[in-house]
Amino acid sequence: MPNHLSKEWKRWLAENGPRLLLFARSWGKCREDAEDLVQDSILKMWHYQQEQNRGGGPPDLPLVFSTIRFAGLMLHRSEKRRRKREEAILYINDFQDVWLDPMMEDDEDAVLLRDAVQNLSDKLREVVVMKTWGGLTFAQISEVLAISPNTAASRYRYALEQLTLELKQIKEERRA
Amino acid sequence: MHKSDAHDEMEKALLRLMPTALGEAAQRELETRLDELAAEGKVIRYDFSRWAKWLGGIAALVVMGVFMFPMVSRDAAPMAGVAVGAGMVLIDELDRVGEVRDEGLFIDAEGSALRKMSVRVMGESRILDQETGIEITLTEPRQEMYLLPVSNF
Repeated sequence: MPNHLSKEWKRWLAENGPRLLLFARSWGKCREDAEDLVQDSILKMWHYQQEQNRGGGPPDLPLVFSTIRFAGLMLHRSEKRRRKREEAILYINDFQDVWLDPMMEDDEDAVLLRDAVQNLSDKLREVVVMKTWGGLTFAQISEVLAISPNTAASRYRYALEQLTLELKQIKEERRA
Repeated sequence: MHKSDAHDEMEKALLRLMPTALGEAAQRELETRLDELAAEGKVIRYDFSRWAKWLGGIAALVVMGVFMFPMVSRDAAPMAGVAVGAGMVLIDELDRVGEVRDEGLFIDAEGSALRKMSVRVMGESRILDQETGIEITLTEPRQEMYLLPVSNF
């Protein structure tokens, strides 16, 4: 039974890990922070699923998104103390650190779009991430963010408009 | 082009991107932890119960904190007013010192005598969700250890 449970969670992690990491990127300053957020949240979810008599299986995605969001807030809480501890550490920028990868190599438009997504405001990006890669409905997104489904839908539409506009501008600049 | 057509195209374009995977080390660590938890077959209760309290009634913790812990230190709140995420602003933060325990004498590697003091601190941050106006208080208990040089016996 325990072995079966662990396999079920690992399967779930393989399927959902990347989309959770993408969402966590908004809250962590670097990839490692985001990975820690995902890790903490999944372990919290494990205990929660056991305690709530939910059969111990993997949780629903909206609940994990919410948990990551709160874990993100907590991360900022301890940021100051951590900064003090790490003052002596030299950071080396990782220029390959991207949030999304194009499905096809040499897909220039996809690379431009990736940058545009990363440049969206946090509010817009989290809705796009949950909708596009998380597969959540506007009702589920509204629960995670404590906003109305209409607000979630308008943010999504506005984000798509911004992305379309930005891509158009970049292409026009290139042509010129 | 019609607006909804443009949206459809953008949605298709977005799907040509995929989220990057968790790092190998993070993935392995998490899988190992899941194996361990499954093997233990038990629940560590402290973690989520605290988590769930946040979601349910964080305000209650604030009230409790005020009565339980005398406030003896307040951060200069250099981060106050700083955005901490999507529409979230840090209003202020403070540390409440709870129990202070003398853990006795300690001799370090150089032979100097030090007194070990264990301090229980309750850190609090008030965060405002600008969108909804909801104020969230995050509490984080922690244990700190101080080593004080001893010159008189």
